Amino acid sequence: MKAFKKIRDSLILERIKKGDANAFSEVYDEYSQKIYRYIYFKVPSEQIAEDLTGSTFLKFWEYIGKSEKQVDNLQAFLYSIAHNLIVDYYRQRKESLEIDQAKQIVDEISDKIVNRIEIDQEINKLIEAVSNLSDDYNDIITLYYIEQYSVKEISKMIGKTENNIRVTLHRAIKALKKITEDE
Amino acid sequence: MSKDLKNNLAKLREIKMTSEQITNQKDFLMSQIQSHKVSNSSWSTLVSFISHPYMMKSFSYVAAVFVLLIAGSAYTMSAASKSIPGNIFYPVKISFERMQVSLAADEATKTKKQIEFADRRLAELVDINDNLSPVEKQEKVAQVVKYFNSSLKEVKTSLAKDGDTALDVAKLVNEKTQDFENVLVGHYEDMPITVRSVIEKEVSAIKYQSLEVMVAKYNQHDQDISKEMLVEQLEERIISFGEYISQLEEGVQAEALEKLSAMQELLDADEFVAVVEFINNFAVYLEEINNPVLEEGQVLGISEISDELEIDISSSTETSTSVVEE
Repeated sequence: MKAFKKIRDSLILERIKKGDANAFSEVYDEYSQKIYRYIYFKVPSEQIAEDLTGSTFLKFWEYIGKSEKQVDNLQAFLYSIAHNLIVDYYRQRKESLEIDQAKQIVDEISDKIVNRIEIDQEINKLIEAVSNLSDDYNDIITLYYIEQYSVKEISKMIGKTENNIRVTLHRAIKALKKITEDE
Repeated sequence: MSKDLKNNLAKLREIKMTSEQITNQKDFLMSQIQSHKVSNSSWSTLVSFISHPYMMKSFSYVAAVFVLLIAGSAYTMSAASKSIPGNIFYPVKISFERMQVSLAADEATKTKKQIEFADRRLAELVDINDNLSPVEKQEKVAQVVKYFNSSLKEVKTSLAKDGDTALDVAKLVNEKTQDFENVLVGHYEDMPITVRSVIEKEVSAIKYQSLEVMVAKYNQHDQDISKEMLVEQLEERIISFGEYISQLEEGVQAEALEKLSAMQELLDADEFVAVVEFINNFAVYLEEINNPVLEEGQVLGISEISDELEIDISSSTETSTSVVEE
């Protein structure tokens, strides 16, 4: 199955390189919700998560169309674009925010949670806890437990060894437990 | 790792964009990538886009965006500009506005756009309030207020940037919020108390923030703001409270006037920082008086009001009371 996926992905990339909009549509259908969730836990609002998700796919299309470089792993590439857009977003915010306005981000995350009135309180706390984890831990928790990628897949996506991923996973869970138990 | 935590983490997979969001975003992206594909005449872009098998399935809102942007169809532009939530062109309108913000050349232009769009949201709110039934209003009002707050949040962020354009932005905000307040005063009795409260609070906050920036710039001896200009802005703000005070009961009116008198004394003594602080406190004081269903000193927070807007707002007084009692 994994070999099939790899072959299928490389064919899709070839088609996108030639400007095939249907191929792009297939990628969007498969990955849009995953990319959205990945971004969701890192940004203050649903609207920003939605906007950055759209930007991720647009950048993906632009890069594949214009660059001569080969993309080996479509999945990993999409996540790396999303990650870079999040970094850019916070870099722009950091330029404008004063220190005591960092609390504004926490308040906005609370707004994101409050809007999800159909999810129960325990889940709401978990959303907040995951959002408050450090970047590395947030990534690992999102990719392993929420998106249910394997350690091997994650190691390729993040560019670290499988052993490193397992250790980080263990630490991330510990950190998450600490946050949820402290509340 | 506990089974509960593992199961709860798995539940977070339920966090998704809605099918409407997905459809709208996908349509928009497809329109964008089509425009990247063909770079020559705008007509050939339009023809190749519309004749693409994907687009021939249905006349989606994305086709409307393209017509709006490229062919500039008077009908489509007019339909989009007048649309409210629930109308097929409303996502077009919002997407077009977001694009205008992202394409803006500088911070001042971005802020001007956000204020313009906040203004549009207020117009939509008045439209919804005047023309729809209570049942139809509920969801639409919530959506419009959400976009309104989102625009004002961006304006607040802009105001917080202490750059060269901060003063220009502050002056613009100060001017425009007066227009917002005029709309609110004009439709005071028509709007549900919760909606009014949310908007008043947000508008008050950015007005206060813009005055703070102006005072700070004046104290930094910024040449673009003279004492006369600053005093004029502060006095205008004080005068604007007059409309609200005129609607108060006699006893409360006297108390409010006393406070205003103290504010004037501070202004006469050039205590500008204190005046701005006083203005902010006075706005809160007025809000507490004008929303008598609330407990003394309690003002509904934005998140609570957002929740409340999910519930039936057609009997807003009853709803507000029940929220307070909870």
